[in-house]
Amino acid sequence: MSGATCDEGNIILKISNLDYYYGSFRALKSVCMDIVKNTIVALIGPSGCGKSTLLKTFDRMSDLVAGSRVEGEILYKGRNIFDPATDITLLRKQIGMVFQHPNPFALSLADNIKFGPRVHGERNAEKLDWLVESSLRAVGLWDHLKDRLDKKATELQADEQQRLCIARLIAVEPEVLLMDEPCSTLDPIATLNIEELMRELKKKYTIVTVTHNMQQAARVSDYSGFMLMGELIEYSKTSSIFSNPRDKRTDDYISGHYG
Amino acid sequence: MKKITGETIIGKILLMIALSSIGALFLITVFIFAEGLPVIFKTGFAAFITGMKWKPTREIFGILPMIAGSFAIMAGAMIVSVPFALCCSIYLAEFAGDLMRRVVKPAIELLAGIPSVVYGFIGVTVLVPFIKNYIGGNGFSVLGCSLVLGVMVLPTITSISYDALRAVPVSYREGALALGATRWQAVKMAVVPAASSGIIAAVILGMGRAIGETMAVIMIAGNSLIVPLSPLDPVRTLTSNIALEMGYASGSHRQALFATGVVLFIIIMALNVLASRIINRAVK
Repeated sequence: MSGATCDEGNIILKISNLDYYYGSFRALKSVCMDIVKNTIVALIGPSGCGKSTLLKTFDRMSDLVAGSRVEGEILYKGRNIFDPATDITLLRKQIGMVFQHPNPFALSLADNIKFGPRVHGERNAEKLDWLVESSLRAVGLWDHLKDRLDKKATELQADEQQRLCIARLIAVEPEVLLMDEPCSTLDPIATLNIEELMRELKKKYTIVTVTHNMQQAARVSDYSGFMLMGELIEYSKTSSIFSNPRDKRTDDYISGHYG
Repeated sequence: MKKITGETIIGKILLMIALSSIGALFLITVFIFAEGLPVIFKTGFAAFITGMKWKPTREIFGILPMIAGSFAIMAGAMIVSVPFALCCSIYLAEFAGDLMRRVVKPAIELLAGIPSVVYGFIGVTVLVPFIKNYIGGNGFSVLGCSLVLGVMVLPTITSISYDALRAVPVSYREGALALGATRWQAVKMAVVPAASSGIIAAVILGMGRAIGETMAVIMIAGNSLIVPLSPLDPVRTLTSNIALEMGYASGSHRQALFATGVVLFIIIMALNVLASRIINRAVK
């Protein structure tokens, strides 16, 4: 279960012996993985295997679950995020999350983008407007929507909403983007568009995505992790995990025996 | 031929009972308007609602002081009630634990169950002397009335706002927290704006309740026929005018009271329609 070997200096997230409990249920079992900067990591596995749970520990959204408990450590750029001294709002600024269902706020497009910067104290109107433009450009929505910035975000189409949610994250200048099945509610064309966007975004950001869709993992990711019953069974370069899985369970899953 | 079964009969009976409430509304409306409109036409609608003098014995009917009185205590009640109700509903919906919610919410709702004469009684025995002794005037005042009405409409505004806040999807809170917002920022910047139409509707319905309240107002407001210029002035409202004089009114005086009812009816209808419009727009 060793992680893919790589240059230590490029590791942005280092997960060591991570256990996560809902009450007495052990949802994650001694997970170890290294996530390399400017790559896309896909977490795959059957429903309930703990891949979303693992993702949520990276920005400590997992704290919100009542009765949950974490053991082990996650080093983000060398510092343990579970350290009591961690500033959680700052952590979530650096490690942002895109959810399965697009969740733009019932505000205008512009106010959705400005939300994050405002939360973190940005008051300068020019800077905020610039962030709206640059974030919307980054997700390819600017040309299409620049004349309708005061339109309510909840009136957009689903994939535009998801793009907007990504733009909303980018506006706080994060380093890591966590995406929890970002395409599961989108049609195939919109899915390809979001994948294209992910490839574009990895030049600046590190992306960890959870997906049910193995083709998607194969298409878009550089590294893949296969999870089963809370364990990270195998984690390596996507090309090798799909062509030459080392563990029989991985092989069974990617060849469609269960899941 | 369609078979007549127990199901269809029960369906018909329920339909008729449901329609009867619309029938009651219809009859009341017709009655009030039939009784009230002649005086309004005779006086002229504009003269009726802008007239400063109410002298039933000389058949002078102007209800501006009462309209002003009703709106004054309504505004006062909102100033007292809205901040409290908003804080209560935000606390209950977003911050309170289960135990706290189970205690506080029914307690606030219980306020709605206290008979208004009890509110009036407490107002007369406690609030009116307090205002007279420590603030000024004779105690019977817009101020006293607003304080009491503010408490009376608190449950309406709180529970409707609470429902509006709870109807905001959890994903909004998650989305805000995942951007690094604190809980208060998430509530203030994402949840409350999403619930704003429901909250506005709650306030409007509260206004309707305040304007329609009678008993407590009669006991505390002082019932003078003047346009209030200070919070310490006594006032008479549209509702108290009807209640106070209906016992002995006859002829055109009685009709003028119905005409007062017509104005009240229109105001409350307008508020309710406005509130349901806002709620419907929010649903869409």
